[in-house]
Amino acid sequence: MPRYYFDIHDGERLAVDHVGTELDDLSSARDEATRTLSEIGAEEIPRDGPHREFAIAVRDDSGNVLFELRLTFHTRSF
Amino acid sequence: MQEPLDVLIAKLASIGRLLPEYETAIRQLPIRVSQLDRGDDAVMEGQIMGHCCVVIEGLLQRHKHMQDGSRQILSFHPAGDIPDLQSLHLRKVDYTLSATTPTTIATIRHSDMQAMLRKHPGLTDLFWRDTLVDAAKFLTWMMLIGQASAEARMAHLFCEMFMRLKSVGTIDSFEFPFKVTQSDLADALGMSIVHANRTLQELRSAGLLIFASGQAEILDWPRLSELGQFDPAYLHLADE
Repeated sequence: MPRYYFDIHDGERLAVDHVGTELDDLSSARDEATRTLSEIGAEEIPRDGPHREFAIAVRDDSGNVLFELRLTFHTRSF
Repeated sequence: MQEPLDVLIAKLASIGRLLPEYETAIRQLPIRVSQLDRGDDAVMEGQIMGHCCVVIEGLLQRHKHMQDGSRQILSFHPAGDIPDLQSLHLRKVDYTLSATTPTTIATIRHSDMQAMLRKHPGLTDLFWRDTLVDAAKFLTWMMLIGQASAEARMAHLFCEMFMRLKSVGTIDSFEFPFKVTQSDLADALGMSIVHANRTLQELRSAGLLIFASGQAEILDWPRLSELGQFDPAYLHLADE
């Protein structure tokens, strides 16, 4: 199974994934990243601030970035 | 001499008072010892059981699957546990038990178990207590899955495993084997594998816990147990 690396930016700092995760294929990697981003958002958005941004960049074994997902939480007051 | 069911004796002694004649009765139980590889099932959902199993060495996990194939791990069972003791009364099992790592189990026929319990009603009380403690673990698990943060869930799981392994004398240090994969942790704690990895990374950089390749090391017990809101009362360790 191919190994994918998920670098996570939580708006403040970038956590580079040095270990990676073995998954079936690119589509599984996309599902995994999507689920992770929504879980991290659900955990961290209620903790602080009216504005948050999270991103996950997924790399393959050779270091090529395959895709990036971004989650933005924005509050607008009237 | 070390006998296979000594781990069960240690387990029962950790949760209540075990008389010498109970130990003798347990040692005299006829058993069949078998080896499982990772992924092998000890018990399959829907099976009608005529026996139950004791974990002699290794680790079993109890799990169920949703229709889309997603898996929830409901409990881990190290040496000394009888995870399917319920089958003595609920013969059709509603969960699957699989080996998390190469595991040795001993199976005991229900009829032999029942004969022993009829002869020693005090042992019935002890086994009943064991199933109630299991139920107490499920309550705590449910609360964590529903209410706790990812870090707290992860911290609590390692605190519980440490405490359970220590109480039966399997380990005596903060460095211990816990042969689960990242994907097992994810399925136990209800999070993605990548989220589980990130959570472990955070506990590591906070100086609380190191976990890699099935080996755990608790670096700071007071802070890890505080983060996990771990109160061992629900394990009812010999508080009779």
